[in-house]
Amino acid sequence: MHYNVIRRISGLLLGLFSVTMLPPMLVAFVYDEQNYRPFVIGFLAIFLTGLALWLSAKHAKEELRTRDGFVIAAVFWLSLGLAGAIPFYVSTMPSLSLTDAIFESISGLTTTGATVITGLDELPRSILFYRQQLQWLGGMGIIVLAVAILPMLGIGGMQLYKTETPGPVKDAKLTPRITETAKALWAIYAGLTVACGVAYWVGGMTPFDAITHSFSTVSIGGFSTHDASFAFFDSSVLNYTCISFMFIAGINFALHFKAAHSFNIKLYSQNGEFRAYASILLVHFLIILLGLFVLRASFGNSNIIEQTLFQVVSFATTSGFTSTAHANWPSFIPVLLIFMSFYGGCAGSTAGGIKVIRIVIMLKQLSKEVMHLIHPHADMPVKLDHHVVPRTIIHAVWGFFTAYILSFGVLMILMMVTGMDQVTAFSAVAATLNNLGPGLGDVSNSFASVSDPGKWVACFSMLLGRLEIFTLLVLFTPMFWRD
Amino acid sequence: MRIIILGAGRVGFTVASNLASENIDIVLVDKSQDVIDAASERLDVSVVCGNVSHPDVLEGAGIKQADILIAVTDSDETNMMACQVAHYLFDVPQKIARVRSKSFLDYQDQLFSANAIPIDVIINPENEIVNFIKQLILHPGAQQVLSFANDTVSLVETKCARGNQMIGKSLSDLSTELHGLYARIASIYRSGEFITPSYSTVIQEDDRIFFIATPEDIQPVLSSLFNQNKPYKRLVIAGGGRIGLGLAQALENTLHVKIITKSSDKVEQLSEQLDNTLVLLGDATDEAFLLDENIDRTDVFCTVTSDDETNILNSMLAKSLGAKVVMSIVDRNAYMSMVDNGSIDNAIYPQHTTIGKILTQVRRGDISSVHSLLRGKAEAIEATVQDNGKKSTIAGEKISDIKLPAGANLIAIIRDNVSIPTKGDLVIQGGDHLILFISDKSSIPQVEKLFQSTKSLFSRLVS
Repeated sequence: MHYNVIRRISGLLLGLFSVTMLPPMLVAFVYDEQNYRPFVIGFLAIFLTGLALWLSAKHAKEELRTRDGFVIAAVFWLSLGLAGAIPFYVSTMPSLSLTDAIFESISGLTTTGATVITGLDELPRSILFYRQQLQWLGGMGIIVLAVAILPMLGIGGMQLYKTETPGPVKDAKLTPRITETAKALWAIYAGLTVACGVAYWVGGMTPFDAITHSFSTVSIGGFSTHDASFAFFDSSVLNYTCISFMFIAGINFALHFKAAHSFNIKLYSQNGEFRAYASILLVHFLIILLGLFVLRASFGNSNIIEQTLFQVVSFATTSGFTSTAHANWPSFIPVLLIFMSFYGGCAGSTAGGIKVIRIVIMLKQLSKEVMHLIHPHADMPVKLDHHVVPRTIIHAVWGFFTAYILSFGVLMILMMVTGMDQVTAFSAVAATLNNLGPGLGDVSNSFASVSDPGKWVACFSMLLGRLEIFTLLVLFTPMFWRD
Repeated sequence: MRIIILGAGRVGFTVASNLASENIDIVLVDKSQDVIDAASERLDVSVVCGNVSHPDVLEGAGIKQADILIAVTDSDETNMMACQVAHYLFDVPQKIARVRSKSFLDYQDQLFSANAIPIDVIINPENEIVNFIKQLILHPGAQQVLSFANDTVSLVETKCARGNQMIGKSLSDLSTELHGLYARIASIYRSGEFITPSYSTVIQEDDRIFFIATPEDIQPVLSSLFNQNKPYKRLVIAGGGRIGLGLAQALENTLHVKIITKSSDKVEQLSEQLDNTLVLLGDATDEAFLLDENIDRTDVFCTVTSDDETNILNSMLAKSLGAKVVMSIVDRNAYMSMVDNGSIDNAIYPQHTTIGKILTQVRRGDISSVHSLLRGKAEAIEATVQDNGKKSTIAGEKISDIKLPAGANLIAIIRDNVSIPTKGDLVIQGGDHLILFISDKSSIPQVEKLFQSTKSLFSRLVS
């Protein structure tokens, strides 16, 4: 382990993060809120910590090894979770306990979108803005941002990049140099955010709502500035805009890059993962629609198709925006929605969960196993987009799946130990591990009623989900720390 | 700039890692997935696996946007084919290929032209290594001899060993000792850092000194300053491969050369091609055999087999048996730092002798040759100041007015094939060759800019 390099880079990253305290101050200034204190304290604390770490090892020249990348990613996300909580904790509006502040911060950064705050509509805008901004930063990943704009990371940047980007195939670089890849990703991300913000604004939101909601839509976070989430706006135009942008943000950004690079929209339909993604959404949409008709559920006056589509896309991409009281729908539907969050988003997008591509690989492998029973001598490699998927990747996917299910089980038991009932525990773990946000039962709207130990478990679960388990899990193996 | 490198072997890998640190987009192509995986793990480059001469593979590597193609696979034929494809299908402006086989090289002028096999620059690592070693043997005491501007001047690296008479003396003392010979100390490398010399700089033990001199003056300078007196007379070469043979051929008429090989097939081949060389069949690691051949009276023992371990151990054995100077080829990066401690007098790193030629093509501006020094820590660049027509940024300026970046030093000027002193009030003219010593490679882009002719806005946009 190269503690010097780790300290130096963590210091740099914290320094970078401290800068993000400035936009909320600007918001406080624009709306004349006199609410500078949380952010000034946050800025100084984070900046000075970062500076101290950096100064203590600024001459470290060693190259970053694969192992150090894991430590940095884990240390950094943990410390960001804590650092991001400072403004929440210091602020008097809302006044949060330490646990709640950290929960809110981690939920933001991991783009989960679960909240412990109620009465959002009364909060100062600077705090609301800060919450949304946390999601936006966490969506594409601050480490990826750092790789893009801090050239001094060098080759180590690649190791870091791998630890943070989701998906089974991590070495697929879009451009020869990693900094260029990271820049391209952030450019697409920022471009989508701007487009989304403009669309919201045109669709009737106030500029403040449009900007803040574009942050949490493109990052697939799910925070809103209103307690009622999207139901607050009660507008079909906005609902459909949100659906579109969630759908776009749930697609692999590498695919966006390639399509934009070659001006070829056909690339989408040629991509196996995209097709699976679209079909999953469509099939679930039809199932739920059918279910609603058959069970003759009543919804009041709102449009059934619009609401169903919104919930399906919101849950599948793990955004977690709500436009209606989904928990009151016929009982199988909320559970199906929660299930969708496991497999609804593409790798390399801002979505959480297991990711479509892994499910596709596993299902294909499954069908090959069945075929193999019929033709014991056949050689049937798993193919994706006409290319054979290397065996090592298939093993890694199954390994990941096992780890995911195992983590899920352990976390769910832990949640029940803290006193939750079974439904709540199940949905709380799904909502946090998949970075979804809303669950069922007691946590269908907010995590405020969860006990403190329960919130800590949820925090861990959110980080585990965002870093795709292995990055965090590897730190718990004795082998990693030996020699 | 985008460069495509075909073949991720030792040469390809070294070139890629050298260039990747310079903000160049590199795509590395190799047919072996394992090699490619290892490279993508260690370098910030993109990689493609496939047959390197197939058009679809090249297209997948983004050859359409490539500025330079470097074909350095093991096979001459593959390299040539890849250049053909790159030229006719994709119109790549610069094609560099490794061609080793003598039969091709004999017809070099007819074969490698735009209407036959379109290769712009041929690199032949074996030849370069032979030349490199030859220079070392002809100039006792030198660690490296690099020639510039058609052999008008050379940059020489030498080590200041313990007990040297110059230790403790300053550079102004040095100039009085030269007795009229012209030499200029370009840089001194001391415990990991480069020192830009001034008259008051004092030479210390273990300094690596770089100086510029004309080829005829190298030896007198080395002998008067660094007591590297007598020229070598007896040379033993261990290893009868291409390098061994080339070296023997190059030196058999000036020195007493013995060449040792283990293989009986090679013995016949060697003795057929060598007239004044004693060809020996035997194991160079056999102590008795070496003693029989008077190893203790050998001036230079040079190991040039393809196996690093054999080379290194063999040299050390010869040294312990009394060979005065031992030289060895060391290919692997991991061994390089091991042999730097002085157990071998001259370690020769083939990859670094080859890379200069490639760097020359990569550098922008009118750069006519580049030499990589101290395993890539520094570079010596020869640049030509453009004559009239295109206006270069520095023609007509005084030397003292040129803004060279820190880490780059002007060490020699050659005008009309004569080296002239680099005084501050000298005015640079078109056609001058300037030799620069770059001790900090981050200053290279600025140096390139100095020698780039000012482009129109349009051509800037296009490039």
